[in-house]
Amino acid sequence: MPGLILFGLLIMLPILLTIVYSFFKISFLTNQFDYVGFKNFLKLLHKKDFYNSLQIVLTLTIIAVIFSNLIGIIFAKLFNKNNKIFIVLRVLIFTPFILSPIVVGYTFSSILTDKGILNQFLNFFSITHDISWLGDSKYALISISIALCWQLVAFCTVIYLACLKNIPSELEDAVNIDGANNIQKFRYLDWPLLAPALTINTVVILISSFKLYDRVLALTGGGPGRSTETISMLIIRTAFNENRVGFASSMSLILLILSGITTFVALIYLGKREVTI
Amino acid sequence: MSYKRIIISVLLSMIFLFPLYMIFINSFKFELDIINNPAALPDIYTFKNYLNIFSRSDQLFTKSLLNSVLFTSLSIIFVLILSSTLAFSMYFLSNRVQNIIFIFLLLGLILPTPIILIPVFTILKFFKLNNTVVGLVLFFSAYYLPFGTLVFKGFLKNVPKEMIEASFIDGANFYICYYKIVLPVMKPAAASIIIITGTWVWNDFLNPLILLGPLQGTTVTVGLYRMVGQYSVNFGELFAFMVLISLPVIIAYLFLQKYFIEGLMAGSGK
Repeated sequence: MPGLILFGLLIMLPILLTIVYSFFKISFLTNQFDYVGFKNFLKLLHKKDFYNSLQIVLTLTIIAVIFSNLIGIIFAKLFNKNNKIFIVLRVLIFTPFILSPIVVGYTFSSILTDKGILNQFLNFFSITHDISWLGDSKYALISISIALCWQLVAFCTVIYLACLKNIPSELEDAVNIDGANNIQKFRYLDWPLLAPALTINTVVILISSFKLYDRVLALTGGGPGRSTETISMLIIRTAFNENRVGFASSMSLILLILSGITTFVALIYLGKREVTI
Repeated sequence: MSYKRIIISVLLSMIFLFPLYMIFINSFKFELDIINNPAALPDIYTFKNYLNIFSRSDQLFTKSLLNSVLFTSLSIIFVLILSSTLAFSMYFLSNRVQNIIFIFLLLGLILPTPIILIPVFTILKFFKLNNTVVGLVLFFSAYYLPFGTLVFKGFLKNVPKEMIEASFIDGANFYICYYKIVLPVMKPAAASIIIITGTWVWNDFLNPLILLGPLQGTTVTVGLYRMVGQYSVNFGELFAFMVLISLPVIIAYLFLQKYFIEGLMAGSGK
């Protein structure tokens, strides 16, 4: 099984090395490699940038999980009809997801830039005036969430649609005969039957949010200041720009534990919902 | 048929897909037109932006394109071979061993790459494969192996056990059975993996940026980043560049969209 050897060498070994590296002080430039015990983690406790990045990633994750799922369900329910128009819409709605995140980043940066189309639109209708969507730390995080959710909504919609297709029409007829209203129909029929899709979507959203890098780089570069710097950006900057490889590895390890626990908890918790139905 | 539903759906989709429209339409405009009327159709259509990209003196676009085509196709071939053989081999293992491998694959599937990029970089450097296409292809093959294996495993369930057992009784060995029975059945799985991993590898930015070396190597995404970094941004050329590098993926998706979605569902264990 040559696949497993390659997988072991380039995925599993690196995970082990990340753990090892985080106890060392390493520099690529001077070939320094000194054991420092828990020093990196102690330093991490006082590293403001790290808390800042953690907070940014967690905020973005929560926003993405809620909004992508919500809008995804709305789109899916809306498009779930076998009419030519809806078939075309179902195909088109997925396109944002297949674009490169860096393309998405530059696309939204041209929309959200100070003289960009969003501000032109808002100014024209006198809703707001000249908000700096990317340059003001109050709005920069919102801008990034929009670019992130745009792609994830596309994904969620398609997965929910695939799941809705599997709901037998007899069930829907039965519910209609029982005289359920729309809210009851959603609550007792669609919501439980969409559980598998919710699991897939949430896990994919979690993974995308934890590794968030390209879109932010293209949109704000982590700025203004460090107000939108994600953990991935902080790790890469610390390792490759500041050449503090061991210290960056200790952050990687924390991110690994955090993303691992979150994803597995989501998988188990949401997976259980599927079984009980 | 309710018309209200159609109108609402079309309207929402138009808002949702507006960014796509905007990149496309603005790639045919002159710079001043883009800044003044970003949403309008062009007054005068121009292909100047596209011509400029192809005729750049540093050949950034053509080099990037060639590189991306090369390592995307190589990665796809590697992932196909490695994951289909792994999925088929797992078929013969005890449930216990299968589950252990499965958990490791799952770990690989949910792993954010920035976590392992530093050690991957040092390992590739150890084998003198850093800053090479081979190194990057090997990394992509390893990284997408879990996804490929899960998709193939999902499709393998549809092959009757009796069929495989019968072929062994008839004297086929592992490779004959794999080639004659398993491969034909897994054609849809292969189509899914080609389109999905192809898209992911093509679109990836951070991994090639680090593993090909921040200064030398280039891919379509890294090329885009370089173009923006080099000069003050010419929006028309930026949009044209983005259209050109997104077009292959969009066309592939439109032709193979059925496999795209089936593959995503199969890869997530459904």
